[in-house]
Amino acid sequence: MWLVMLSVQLVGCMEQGNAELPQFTSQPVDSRTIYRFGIHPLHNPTRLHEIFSPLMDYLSRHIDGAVFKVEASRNYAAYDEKLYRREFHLSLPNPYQTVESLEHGYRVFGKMADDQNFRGIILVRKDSGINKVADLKGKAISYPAPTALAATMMPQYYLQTHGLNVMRDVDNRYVGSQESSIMNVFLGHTAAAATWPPPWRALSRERPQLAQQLEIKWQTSSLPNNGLVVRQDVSPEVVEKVAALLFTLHTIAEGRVILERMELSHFEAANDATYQPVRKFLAGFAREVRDPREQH
Amino acid sequence: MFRTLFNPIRRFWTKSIQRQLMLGIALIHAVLMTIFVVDLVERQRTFLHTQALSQATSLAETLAANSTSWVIANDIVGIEEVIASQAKYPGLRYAMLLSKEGELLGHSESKYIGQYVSDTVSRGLLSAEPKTQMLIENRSIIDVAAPVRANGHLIGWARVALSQDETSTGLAMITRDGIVYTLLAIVVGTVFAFFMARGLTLALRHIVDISGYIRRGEGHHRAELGRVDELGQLADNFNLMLDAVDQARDNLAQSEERFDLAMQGSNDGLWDWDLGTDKVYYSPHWKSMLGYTEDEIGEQRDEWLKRLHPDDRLKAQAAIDAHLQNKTPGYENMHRIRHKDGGWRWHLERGVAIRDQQGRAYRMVGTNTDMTARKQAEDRLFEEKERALVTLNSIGDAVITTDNGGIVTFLNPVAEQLTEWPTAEAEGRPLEEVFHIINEESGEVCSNPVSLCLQDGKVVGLANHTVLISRQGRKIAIEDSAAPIRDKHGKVIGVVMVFHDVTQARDMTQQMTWQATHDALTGLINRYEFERRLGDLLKSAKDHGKEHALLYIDLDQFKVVNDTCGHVAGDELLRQLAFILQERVRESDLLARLGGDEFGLLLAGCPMEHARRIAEEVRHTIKEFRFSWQDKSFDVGASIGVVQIDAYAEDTTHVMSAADVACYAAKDLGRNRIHVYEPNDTDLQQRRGEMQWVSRINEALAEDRLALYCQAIQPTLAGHHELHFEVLVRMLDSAGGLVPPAAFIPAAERYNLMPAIDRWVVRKICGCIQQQLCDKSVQPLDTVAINLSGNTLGDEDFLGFVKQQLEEFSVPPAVICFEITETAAIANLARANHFMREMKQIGCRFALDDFGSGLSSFAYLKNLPVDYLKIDGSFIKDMTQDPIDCAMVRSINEVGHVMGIKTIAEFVEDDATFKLLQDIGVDYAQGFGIERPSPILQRFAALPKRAAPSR
Repeated sequence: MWLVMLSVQLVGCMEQGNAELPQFTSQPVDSRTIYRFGIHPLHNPTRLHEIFSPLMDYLSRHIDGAVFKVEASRNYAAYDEKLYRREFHLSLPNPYQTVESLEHGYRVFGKMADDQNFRGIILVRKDSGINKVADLKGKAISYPAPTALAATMMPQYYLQTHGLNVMRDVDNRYVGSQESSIMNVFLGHTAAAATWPPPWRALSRERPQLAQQLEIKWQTSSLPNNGLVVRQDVSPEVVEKVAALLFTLHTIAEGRVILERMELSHFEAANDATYQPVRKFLAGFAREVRDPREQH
Repeated sequence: MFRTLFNPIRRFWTKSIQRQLMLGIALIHAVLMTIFVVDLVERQRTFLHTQALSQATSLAETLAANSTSWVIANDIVGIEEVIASQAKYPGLRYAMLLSKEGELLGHSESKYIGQYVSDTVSRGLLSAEPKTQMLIENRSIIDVAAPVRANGHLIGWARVALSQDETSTGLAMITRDGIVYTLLAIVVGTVFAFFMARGLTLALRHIVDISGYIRRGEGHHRAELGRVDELGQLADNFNLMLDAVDQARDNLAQSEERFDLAMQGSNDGLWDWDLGTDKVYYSPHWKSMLGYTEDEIGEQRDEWLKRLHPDDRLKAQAAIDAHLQNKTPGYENMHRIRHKDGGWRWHLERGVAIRDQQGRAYRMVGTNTDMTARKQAEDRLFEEKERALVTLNSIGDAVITTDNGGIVTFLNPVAEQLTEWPTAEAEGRPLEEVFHIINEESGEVCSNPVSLCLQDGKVVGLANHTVLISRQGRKIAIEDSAAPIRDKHGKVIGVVMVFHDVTQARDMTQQMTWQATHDALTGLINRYEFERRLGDLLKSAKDHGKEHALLYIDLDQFKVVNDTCGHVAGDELLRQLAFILQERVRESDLLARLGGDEFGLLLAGCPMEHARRIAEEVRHTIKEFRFSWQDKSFDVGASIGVVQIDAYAEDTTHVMSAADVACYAAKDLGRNRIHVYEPNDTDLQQRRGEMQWVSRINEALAEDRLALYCQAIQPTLAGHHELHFEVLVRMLDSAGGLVPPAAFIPAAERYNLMPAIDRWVVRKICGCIQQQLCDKSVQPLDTVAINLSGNTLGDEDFLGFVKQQLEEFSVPPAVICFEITETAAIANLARANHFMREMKQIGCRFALDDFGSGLSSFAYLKNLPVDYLKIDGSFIKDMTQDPIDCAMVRSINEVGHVMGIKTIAEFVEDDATFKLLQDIGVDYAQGFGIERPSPILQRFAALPKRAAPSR
């Protein structure tokens, strides 16, 4: 009798079949439209998310039936690919990419203000002994990426126009991000680093010893700041609402907090024509330095 | 119905131990193994489940952490890579990454990518709190979801599911094995139980069979199991029980037989009286005890009664009646019964009644024992006792006897007289009450000699000083002894104590003891007793840390009294002082005369401060005392040495010596004062050092290690030549080195060794003079000056000794001049005078040494018939510089000359002094400036030759 009870008890334990496994469907859970908002790799993905997700929440909260999702990219190439494949509904490309996006079904509806910030700066170590552009001859210079307008192309153009044959006289190293570029010169891997003001300000705030040991040696003239583009199939009402919310962001407290993180005073309206100076610079750059579309 | 089924089973079961045991063991195995297997499976399940859960959680959290940046970047390829690496995990059912909105960003099966979750569990997750969640947990899978976060914001979910199939398979295997082992245990257990039970029941069966044989009385059987366990013990005990039964049966048979034999062989005659018929059975021996044959006495009671002595009949009958009425536990009577030969026999008759249930006696059985011989012995003993009593009554010693409990049984008339207890009253009382003794000295009750005697079983003498306190309180000194009284087996049955009055003898002993410990003159205790008491105090100081003090009192002017007024006066002085001091000291203090004019005072329990005060009082008392004798009166002073007696004090000798030393110190410091002995007092240390000299000087004397030196005393007058020498004594130490006089002379003086040294010197110098005088080739000596100490002057025998030596060595007395110091002469004035007169009579001369250094009274000079005056060196040394010294020398010289005494200057060290002395007119000079001392024989050998006789 015991044996019977024992067996029953033990077998009973084993015989409990497959419960419900997860089920899938093509129908979204959420009925709202998802808008992918691609941001060019201003920062690494996590930082980017940190800075822009409050803005996305702000937009989603204020526009019914729409969810805005920030989308980072692992590098410029990945961003460019997604942009040119028209995967983003909205995007914040740099001026160069803004100009390029116009050829891939996007239009400019606004831009970041603070154009004076949109310039390149070249950092050297204070103890490097580099005083004039010619001193960089035969040395290595770090840049974030070949297509980074302010941080790469503008400094290269500057150096080219200040007596250096950038493509031959120096070792150009594209190190992936702004922070990486700065760290390279700080650690002495390169003689100079090209970047642009916001990341330099942010990094020297976070790590004061950087500011102590590095100095801005040269800076370029400025160009229009990063553009706001929208895919042409996105409904004009949504674009209008987004534009209205973005351009008034600096007028409310929540908005100012968001902008502060971006190191930006405000967003402003713009159109395709706003980027004419950029086209001009690019033409000059292509002529004098190199063709930015060529991969390195 | 249940009962009809159950009863046969129960019968089947309870009928056999074997079956009970088998079934029981099988059941125990089944139950225990089941519990064990169930518990094991359950534990294993819990363990595996916990493990799977923790793995799933860890995988999900890892996936979430690794995919954050890919989710932010919406990087499908990156997400795919991360999931692919997770999918390799063994047992993984699926892994997926969900967007916050439920979209599949990645899945281990890529076909689902881009779809949305639709089941309730997954949908529930989307709105759940962002923390690790258990989504599905069953026998088949464990599905865990972990939140993917970016900067603290939820951006999606990582889900991992692990298959539980392996866990279930493992558990099934364990269960199967468990059932198999359980069955095996039951089978094995049952088989073992079968064999064990069989062994047990076989043995029990055997014992059951044996007991059956015994019950039926079928011969002699034993249970032989050949086992050592409890069954073996059961069989052994069973066998022992059989043996015991056999033994008891044999014993009974033997006992019966023995009783028959005993009655036949016993000296007692047996009788058995049937009260119903009044017939009595008299045993053959009963009859033969009275000289009859068996058939000569019938069965009547009268056969006994008629033979009883008429005087004993009533008593016998009364004893029987008393017992029959149950008033006595047994019947016993001693009576006379007539023998066939007509004489009487003493019989001890004993019997006991046998009673029915109401207690009425219906039979009485007893024996008769012939006691005639014993009775006769008792009579003889009584006579002996009477004789002993008469003896005891007539001896002179007191005798008390007690039983072995110390209870008085007898006192003879002397004992009655001494104790004042009549025997009649003393009898039955404890000895202590009648014989009350105490120790005469301590007054404590002495231990009872009888108790001691009983305890030791041998003769015990009384302690000394035992005093008997009589009933009226009279004290009688006694001496006694107690001896045990033993029966013929040597057992102590009592004590006899003999004692006699020794009051007179003891009084005499006390007198002698007193004399041995006291000074007859003053009645104070003597030095012997004083040192004994000092010993007691030393012990109490050491044992109990008590503090005491000792005062050593030396009278300052006793000698003067003794010398001027005689011994009788001295004795009177001592008596009076002893009386006065005794009055002043406390009861507890002990005053003793230590000899001569020295007293000792022991202050028990007296701290140093207090002792010092008492010493001061004593000194003051003596100072105040004025002794008058005839028409003279004297001031007497005392020098007192005080010594503390504490735990650090050494033995009696040391303390006495310390006191002596301190007393001398007091004397040295100017008399009439006290000095407290301090162990580290350097001055006293020196004195102690002097004491060591005593033995060294004695040794030197014994070994003849003294040497004579001499120094010339030269006339100052030019042209005068005289062979005048002062003899000096030196000591050689054991190594032959020279010891200067300053080192040992003070010690010798203090410890009264000077008489011996002086004698040695006199004897030696006499030898030298004789030898010198015999040598006719050299000039004969004119004067040889010998120093005599004060002690020597006080020595009565010294005079005779000197005369004898002079005679023996044929030394002309005119050659000898004795030098004595002023102090020595005055201290022993009478004796010194006597000595000087005697010696001068035979022609010796005297010089007064160190004149001017001591008391220095010119008046003494009148009483001392001296020939020379030796001016103390201290005046001479500086007289060339010091006009006072010079004047002193001048005046001493003048006085001396006026009195017809020649003067000698000591310590003359240079020519200027010598010249000055010449000018002053001092007759002689002596000192290093004249001649250094040299060994006498050497010096004498260098004496100037005699001028050749003129032809």
